[in-house]
Amino acid sequence: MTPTPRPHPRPTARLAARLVARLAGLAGLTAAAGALILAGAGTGGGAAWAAAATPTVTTISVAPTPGKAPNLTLSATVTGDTATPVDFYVTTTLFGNPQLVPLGPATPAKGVATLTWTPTWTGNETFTAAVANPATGKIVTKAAASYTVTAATPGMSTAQANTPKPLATFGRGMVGFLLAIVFAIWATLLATLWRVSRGVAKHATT
Amino acid sequence: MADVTQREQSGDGYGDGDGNGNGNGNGNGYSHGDGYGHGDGHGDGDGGLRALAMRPVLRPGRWWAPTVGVLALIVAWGVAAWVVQYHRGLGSAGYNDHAFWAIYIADVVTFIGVSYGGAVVSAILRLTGAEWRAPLTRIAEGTAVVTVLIGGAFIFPHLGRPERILELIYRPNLSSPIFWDFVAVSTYAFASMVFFYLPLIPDLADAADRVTAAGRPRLGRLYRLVSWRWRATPAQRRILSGSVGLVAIMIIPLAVSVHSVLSWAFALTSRPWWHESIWAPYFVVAALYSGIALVIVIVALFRKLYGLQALIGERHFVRLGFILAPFGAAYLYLTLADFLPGGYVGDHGVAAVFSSVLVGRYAIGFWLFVVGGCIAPLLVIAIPRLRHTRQIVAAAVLVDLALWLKRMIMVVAPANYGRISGLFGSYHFTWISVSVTLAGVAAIPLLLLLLFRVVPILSVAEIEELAHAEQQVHIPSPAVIPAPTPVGVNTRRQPSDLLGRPATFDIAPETP
Repeated sequence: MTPTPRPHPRPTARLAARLVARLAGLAGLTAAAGALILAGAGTGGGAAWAAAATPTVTTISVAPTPGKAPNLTLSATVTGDTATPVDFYVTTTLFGNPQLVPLGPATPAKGVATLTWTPTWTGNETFTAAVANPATGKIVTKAAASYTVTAATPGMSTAQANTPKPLATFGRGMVGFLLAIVFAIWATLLATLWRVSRGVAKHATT
Repeated sequence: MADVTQREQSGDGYGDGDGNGNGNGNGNGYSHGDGYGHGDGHGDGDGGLRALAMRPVLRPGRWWAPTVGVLALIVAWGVAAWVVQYHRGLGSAGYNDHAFWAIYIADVVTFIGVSYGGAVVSAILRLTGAEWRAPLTRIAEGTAVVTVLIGGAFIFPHLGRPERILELIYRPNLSSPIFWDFVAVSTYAFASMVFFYLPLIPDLADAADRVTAAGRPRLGRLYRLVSWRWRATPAQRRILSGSVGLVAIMIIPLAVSVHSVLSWAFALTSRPWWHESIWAPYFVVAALYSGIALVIVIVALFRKLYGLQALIGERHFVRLGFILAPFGAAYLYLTLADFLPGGYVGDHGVAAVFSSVLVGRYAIGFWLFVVGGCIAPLLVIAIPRLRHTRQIVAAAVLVDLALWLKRMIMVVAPANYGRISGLFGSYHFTWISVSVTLAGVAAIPLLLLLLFRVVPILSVAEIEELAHAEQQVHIPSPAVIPAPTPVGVNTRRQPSDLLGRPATFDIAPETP
């Protein structure tokens, strides 16, 4: 008795089965990698914070940079994790509600993060040093201090203003060219008047 | 009649036609064979045309002095207002921290713009050989000269310290569009004066004896002095014709440059709506549009004042209207092209300004401009039933008023917009600014009345030349000369056909 052959699976079904198997494999790999990361095998700082001490910004101080007025030196003292960069901010109300305008990051050295900043306006300002969770971007610790800025450099520095513009050379040439055209026009008009006066008077009888 | 015909064909260049007056009736009496005839007029075949041309100089009419007096009073009132403004400061003219540019800049743009129209219309018609131009060119060129001087003068009330304008000369800032405005406007003003003067030479030579005989010997001497012993010799005509052609060619790009530079005084400023690349051609088209409209208005005015109906007919106005219409349509198109990209992208400043212009505080003025300054004139030209002198002149008046209004909006709306606050300031007319502006308006007819008190209002030589050329074209060959016609019936083409409606030029005889 000849066994009844099993029906051959249709190509579409075969393809779907393979796809499901591969997706399952991928999911397994992902799950494994996630487990490793959660176990601290990854490189994320957030994960590191799970095992080590969470950073804390204890103080921020502002002082003029010696010999480089009007620059200011912003210093933040950090405890706990000192590998994560500290972000410095200044508070502004220029565009509505108070908001932190980033001034730049600095990595702590021996527990102190330092940033040199050139103020562009004077007045009483609030400076903030903060550390954000690299995984979420949320600020986890910060400290603020007020400081009266007494000297500032305009946003557009003199050096910038004095830097020749890209088309400056062309512009100078253009001015000369235009002045030459204007001169030629005036010369032509005056020459025309002279030609008419002389010519008409000269040919009065011819 | 026989005398006149003989002179016509003699081609003697400056035949002193003493005339017998018979030429008046059939209008063929003003051909001397060369175009720049030297007929002395009284009663000769072209005496009517010459009398007509010299009428403002010799016998302007009783209305002349009172009219000039009233216009001079208005101008004097405006000057007095400016003196008051000089003492009180620009705030008395409505200027403030927001409206730092306002009515006087709109006046500068308007008056220099209308000047452009007069010069370019005359130049283009000369270069294209449009024969019907002849009775219009002198008025158009005179309008160009007068309006550019008035427009240039409007910069003085705009300045709080007008004496500092001299710094444009001895301390120029070559990177400033204001300096180039000064250069372009002064160059164009000089060129338009040359363009006015050169075609005047034959007419001044022709009129020298006439004004002397009329009891104005000084004016006669002046005419002889500035006409350089003109005798209409072939060499003289060749020199003059070439020179006029050259200046006609030069004046067109010059006029384009003037209004382009004027627009760049705005467009090189980083303010919403001013800082647009389209503004140079936009200004040029606006200048042509309003300038042609002013030529129509001035021609109509002087036609009425000096009785030039015999020379300037409805056909002239219709043709000027045909020139006016495309510029009106082009300006409407450029307005759309100006608003669409900025409005679509919607940058804050541009959107705020456009909003104020299209649906906000300036909307009434703007839509008045669109309807009164563009659509209505186009309809007048487009509909044959409306295409008549009165309607065309009315449309031209509308165009000039609407274009001034548009320029006011273009100046004031962006100037008033506060870029930091996003709010608009305010600008209000004051009696001072209105008086100064009205003085400028009154100065146009005033200066033209004074100008045509010393120079002929018509380019007689040009009219004769064109009429003669036309006659020569239509002289039939002997083989096809028709049979003699009865006395009193002239079947030859009338010169007046070139110049509007049939004319006889038998104007009231001139009294020396």
